[in-house]
Amino acid sequence: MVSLNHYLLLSAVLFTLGVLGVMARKNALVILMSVELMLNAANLAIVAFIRYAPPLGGDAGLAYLQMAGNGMVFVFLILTVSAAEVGVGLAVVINLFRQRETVNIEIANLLKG
Amino acid sequence: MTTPPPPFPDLALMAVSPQAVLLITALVILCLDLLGKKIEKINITLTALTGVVAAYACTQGLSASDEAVFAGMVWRDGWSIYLDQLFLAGTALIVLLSHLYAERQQMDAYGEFTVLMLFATLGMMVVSISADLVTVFIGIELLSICLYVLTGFNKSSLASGEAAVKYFLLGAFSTGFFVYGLAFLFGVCHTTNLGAIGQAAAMEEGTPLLVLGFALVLAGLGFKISLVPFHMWAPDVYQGAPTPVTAWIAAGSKIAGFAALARIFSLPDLSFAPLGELWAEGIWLLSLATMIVGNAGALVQNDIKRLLAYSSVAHGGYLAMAFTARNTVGLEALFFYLAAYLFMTIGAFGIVMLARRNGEECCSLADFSGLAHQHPMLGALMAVFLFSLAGMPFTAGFVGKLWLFGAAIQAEYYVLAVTGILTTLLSFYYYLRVIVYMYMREPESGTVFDPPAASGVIATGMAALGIVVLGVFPNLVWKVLAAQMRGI
Repeated sequence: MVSLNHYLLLSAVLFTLGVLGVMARKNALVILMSVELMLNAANLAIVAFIRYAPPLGGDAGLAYLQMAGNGMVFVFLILTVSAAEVGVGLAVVINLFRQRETVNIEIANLLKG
Repeated sequence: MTTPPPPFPDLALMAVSPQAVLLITALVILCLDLLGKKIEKINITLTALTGVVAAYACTQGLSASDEAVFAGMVWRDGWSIYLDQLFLAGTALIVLLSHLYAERQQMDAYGEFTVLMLFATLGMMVVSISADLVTVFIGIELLSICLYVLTGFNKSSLASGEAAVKYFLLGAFSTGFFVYGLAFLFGVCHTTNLGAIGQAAAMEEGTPLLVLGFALVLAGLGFKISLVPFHMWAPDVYQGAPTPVTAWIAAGSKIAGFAALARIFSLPDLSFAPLGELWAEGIWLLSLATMIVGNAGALVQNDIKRLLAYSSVAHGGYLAMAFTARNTVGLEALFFYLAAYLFMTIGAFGIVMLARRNGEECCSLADFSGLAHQHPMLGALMAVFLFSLAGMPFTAGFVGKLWLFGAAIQAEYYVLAVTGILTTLLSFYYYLRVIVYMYMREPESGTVFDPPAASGVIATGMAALGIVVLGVFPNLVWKVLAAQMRGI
């Protein structure tokens, strides 16, 4: 039987992979993919929380519907916003590539001190 | 606050009128930019300023109420009105400085630049009114995405391109933490409404998942307000970004970050109840580390924009101190200092833009040698901003710091207050260094500073006026603020 904890564990693994990817990799595009992994971990957690929510007090049916609708709209908004973020991010990375012919962030180290 | 939303939400459009006016202004400028290829920069600036003034006029007509509107998404309470006014005042100054910058750089896409600036402001103003996790998230992302683009706006500049990549990657990384934290808050409290979360969290106090959620949110927002250890991006991005954008990242996005923190953590009833002692301990440590690292970092900088970046990090530490008080007094001190911080940061970066020698922006401190001899006005203005940042009496920075330290002492965080005072003394060294260069060093022979442009002088002059007024008559703002905060 798959329980809420299984989903939360999976989402934690996804999130950790994302964090490790951002920390360890030097390629801006791979870092971008790792960030997406982190956001998907959050989405997975929210959807799992909705699916396994205990019956809420009072008028349980209506309260559950409100909670579920609330959470799912949140998931859709996270999806769209992260799409917008990737759109801008790719443009920024392409600009870096045009300037330096590389997307390695270790080579781009003009600013320091 | 927690009543289920009505089947068809009432659209209280008046409550969001400043945001609506700003949005329409941005769209109008977008259309103007499409229509005429050769539209004059001054027309774009004037349109933007008209919109900002109109939006400010709308805030005057608002009345604070505790009711959440738009199905519980929007809160038009006292502090949202105050923050909206702060953001709009800042935008007016930034638009003037952007005009100066665009003229100097002969920027082609000035319309787009202005539109993105206005959208970033809109994001900040969405944060200020938000009563729901979803609204906070949308606002934070709107302002961040616009600022990523603006940071890389100088497509020919290597520094600008690199700063944009750094800002974007770390910003997106922090969004990951923020959203994951929000997911846990939703999971524990089963709602995204901030008021309901506050009540649910107070009942679930100490649940590991809840603490983890709040900690992740704090880390995510910590990036935005560059608290140590999440501050690494700040100096690089501040140095590489176009200077008006740097000013707006330093001032606007940091104020919005603090507004979001205050919104999410002060629940319910401004008492910071759900996390209790844990919150105070966490923010105590972050504030202490931020003050020390920020001020120590600024000591060794020779680039003016990096120096101001570290100074901005240090100010994040002073501002975070307000949260240790965990009451309305602390929040009032925070909001007062945010106003002071807005004017002195924008003003200081404005002078960096104005002080150009032989057609180049001054980068290193040595470039400022003799500025005050050739342009006494610029020197005096810069001195006002730096003294205020350092916290000299009769400036807004002094009054604000006094209240912040007072809040920490009242909450019995003596170590924090003493560290604040000691680091403030330390900060006099690096602020005075700039003044020494301006007033007591001779410029290299043949150095000619460009004559200051009118729009920049107006903007920095108004910022300086704000600082002096806040410093000499703090009660003017204080009374308004206190009435609005306690009226909640």
